[in-house]
Amino acid sequence: MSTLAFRPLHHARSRMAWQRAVRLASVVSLGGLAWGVGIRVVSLALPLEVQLGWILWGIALAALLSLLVGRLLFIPPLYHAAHLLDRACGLEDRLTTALGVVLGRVRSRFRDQVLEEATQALLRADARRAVPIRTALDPRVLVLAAGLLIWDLLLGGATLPGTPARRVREMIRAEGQKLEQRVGQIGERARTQRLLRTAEQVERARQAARALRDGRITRNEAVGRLRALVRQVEGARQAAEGLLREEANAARLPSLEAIERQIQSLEALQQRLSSAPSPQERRRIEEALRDLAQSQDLPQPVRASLRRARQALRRSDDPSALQALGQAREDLQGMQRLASEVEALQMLAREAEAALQHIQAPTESRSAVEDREIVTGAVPFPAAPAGAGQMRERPGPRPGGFTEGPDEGLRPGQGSVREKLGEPTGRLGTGLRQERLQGRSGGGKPTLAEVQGAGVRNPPRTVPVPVPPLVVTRPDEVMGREGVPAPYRDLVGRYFLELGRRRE
Amino acid sequence: MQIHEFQHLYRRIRSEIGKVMVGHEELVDLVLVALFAGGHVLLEGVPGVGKTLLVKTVARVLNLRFSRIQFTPDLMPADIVGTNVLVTDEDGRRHFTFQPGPVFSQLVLADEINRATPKTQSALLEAMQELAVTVSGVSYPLERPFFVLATQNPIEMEGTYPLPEAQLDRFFFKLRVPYPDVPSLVEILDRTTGAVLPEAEPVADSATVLAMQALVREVAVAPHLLSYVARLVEATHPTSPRCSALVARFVRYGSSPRGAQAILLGAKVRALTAGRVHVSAEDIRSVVLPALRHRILLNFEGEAEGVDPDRILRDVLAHTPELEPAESLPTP
Repeated sequence: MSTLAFRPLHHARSRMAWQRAVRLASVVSLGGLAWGVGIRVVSLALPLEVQLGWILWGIALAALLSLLVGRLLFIPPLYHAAHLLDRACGLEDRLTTALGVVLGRVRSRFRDQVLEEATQALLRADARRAVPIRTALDPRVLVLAAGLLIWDLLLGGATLPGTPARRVREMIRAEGQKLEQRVGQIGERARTQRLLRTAEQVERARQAARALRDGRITRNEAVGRLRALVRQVEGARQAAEGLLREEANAARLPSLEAIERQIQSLEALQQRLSSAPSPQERRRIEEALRDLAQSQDLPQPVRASLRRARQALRRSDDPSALQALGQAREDLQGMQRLASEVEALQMLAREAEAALQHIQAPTESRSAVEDREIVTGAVPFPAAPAGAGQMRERPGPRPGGFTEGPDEGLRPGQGSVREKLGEPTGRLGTGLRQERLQGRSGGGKPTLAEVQGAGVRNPPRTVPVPVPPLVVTRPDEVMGREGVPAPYRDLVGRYFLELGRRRE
Repeated sequence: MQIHEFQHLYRRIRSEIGKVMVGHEELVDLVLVALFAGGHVLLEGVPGVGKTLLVKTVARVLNLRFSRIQFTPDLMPADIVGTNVLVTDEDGRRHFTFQPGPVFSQLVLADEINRATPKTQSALLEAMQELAVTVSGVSYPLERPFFVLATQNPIEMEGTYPLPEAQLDRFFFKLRVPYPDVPSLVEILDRTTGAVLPEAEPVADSATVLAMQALVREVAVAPHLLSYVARLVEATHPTSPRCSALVARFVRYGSSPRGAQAILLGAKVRALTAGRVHVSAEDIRSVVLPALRHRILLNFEGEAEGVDPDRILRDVLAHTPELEPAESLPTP
C-alpha cells in the first residue's frame, strides 16, 4: 500500500475522533439537562437556588470541554478507522485485511491483489460521507430542554407544602409584604411632603416588594432585586445629600432638627414682628436677628435675608423686614425638604437592606420575625406632622432573633416555633394589614411593656404541686424536654418561680 | 489455480447440481463449501427429501468415486473399512489379502449413521479424521479428496445410537435438510415423473477439487476477523465472561477449537465463491450456524425446554461485536 493510500485513512480517523467527541458532548449535554431537570424537581422541596441561565451555561461549557477533551484524548487507532470505512463504504473488510497485510499480520499469496484492491477502494472512498461528524440530535435532549424551559415558565418557583423550600418562599413573601407595607408608609409621607425623589424611589421599592410578595421568586432573585434597589436608593440619597450640602454651603451638613428649630425661630420672630411690637421688643427682635445672621449654621442666602430684615427693622420698615424674614424662612423650608428627602431615602434604603439581610440569612425562626415586627413594625415611624423630625425613631440594626437550634420547637433539634405553631390566623395578622394602618399613626416613641398576664391579683388557677428537684435546679432542660418553645421559656420559668414564691 | 477459475468452476458445479436438485440452494452451497474446505457434513432430515440424490449428484458432477453405506445395527467395522481375506494364489499358496471396504471411495454416503453401533460409527469417524484406515496393524491411506456425507433421521430415534459429542465434532458442518416448499415440490414432480430424467454432467475431477481446496487456504483474513471468530467460539462457553445470558442459561459446553477452524475455512470458501481473495465478516456469519450447531451441548434445562442451538448461536452473533473497541491492534 502506498503512502498516499494512508491519507484517506488518517482523514477518516480524524473525523472519527471528531465524531466521538461530538457524541461525548451530546451525552454530556443530555446528562446536564437531566441534572437540571433533577435540580428543578428537587427544588420543589429544598431551597436550591440554581437559575436556568446557570444550568444552560454550565451545560454549554461542559459540552464544549468534553468536545475538546474528546477530540484531543480519544483518537482511535488507524485499524478502527479502516474498519469503519469498510463498514460505511461496503468494502467487505478489504481495508482491514490490507492493513493486516501491511502490518505483516496476514500472509497470503494474494497479498498484492489485496493491497491493490484496497488502494483502489480507498481512492473511491469518501471519508466525509462515511464518517459524518454531525449526528442527529438526540430527541431526549430536545425533550429535556423543552421540559426545563416549560418548567421554568409554568412551574418556576413552585414548592411543595411543608418543605424547606416552601418555608423560604413564605419567608420571602412575608418580607415582601412587610417591605411593601413600610414602603407604602414612606410613600405616604413623600406624597404629603411632596418629596419627589423619594416618591420615585418608593415606586421602585414597591415594585420590588410586589415581586417578593409574588411567591415565585427565588432567594437569589430576591437578593438581586433588593441589592439593585438598595443601590438605586442609596444613589438617590447621595444625590439629595449633595444638593443639601450645596444649598447649606457649610462644612457640616445641617441636621433636620436644626433646620426645624431655625424655621420655628424665624416663625416666632415673624409673629412678634407682625404684632406691633414695642420699642424694647423691636430691639430684642433686632438682637435676635443679629445673632441669627451671625450664626455659621445657617446658609449664606438665609443670613443675607436676615441682614436685610435687620436693616429694614432699623429703618422701621416692618413690611420689608417681614418680607426678608419670609424669604429666609422659604430658603430654610427648601433645605428642610431636601433634608427630609435624605432622611426618607435613608429609611427606604434601610428597609430594603433589612429585608435583604433577612432573606440572605439561612434560616430565621418565627420568633425572630415577630421580634422584628415588634421593634420595627407596630409603629414603623411616627408620621411627621409638619416636619419630619420624628423619623429618627427608626430602629438600629435588625434584631438577631431566635435561631433554630437544639432547643427550638417541640422536639429538641427539629423544627421551629413558626413551623409548630402553624400559619398566623387572620386575626393575629390584623396588626400588619394595610387597612389597619391607614390614616396617621400616633406619635411618640414605641415602647415595649412586659406582659404580666391578666393583671389581676386573684390566686393562680394552677394548683401548686411538688416537683422533682431537677425542675428547680435545671428548669431550662426540663422545659426543653416538655416541648416549651425557647422564646417562651423565660416567661414560663418566671411564672412558675412566681408561683413557687407565692406558695412559700 | 486462480480465483476467477475457482469462481467459474464453482458456478458450473453449482449449475450442474441445480439441474438435478430442485430448491435447497443454501444446502447445496454449504455442502460444496464443506467439500472445498476439506470437511465432512452431517445431514439431518426426514427420509425422502433428497439427501442421497444430492450426494450422488455431487459425486457425479465432481467425477469422484462414490459409495453408499447403509448403517444398520448389525453393521460391523469391517463392513466399512474392509478386511483381510484368505486368498489362494496360482501356486496354491494361501495368504491374507486386504479387501478394501466401501470407505475406500472419494465420496462416501453414510446413510442413517446413527443406526449403527458406536463401534462401527467410530470406524468411519477414524477414517474421516485420519484419512486412513488401519486393519491388522497395517495403515491404508484413503484417496484424496475424501468426503463423507452422513445422514441421520431426527424423528425416528428408537433403536438408534446417537453420535457422541466427540464424534459429532469431527463433522465440519451439520446441515438441516428441510422439506421442500410447494413450488419446489411442483418442480420436483415435473422433473422426476417425465420420460426424460435430468442428469448432471461431470465438470471437475479429483485434481481440480484438490486444487480448489488448496486455493481456499490462501485466502487472506484480517486480524480482527480472526479475533472475531475466536470470540464467537469463546462466547458459546457458559463459563466465558463474554457469553450471553442465553448461553449461560442453556449451554453446558461450548464449541471446540475445531468449530473455529470450520468457521474460518468455510468463510474462506464463501469469500472465494464471491470472487474475493479475503474474508469478510459476513462470510463468517454465514457459516456460524452450520459450523457450530452440533458443537454446542445443551444442559438439562436447555434440553428440557427444547432450545434450538440455532437460537443460541443467533444470540451469540448478536452479542459479539466484530471489532472490540479496546482491541489492541498495532498501528503503522
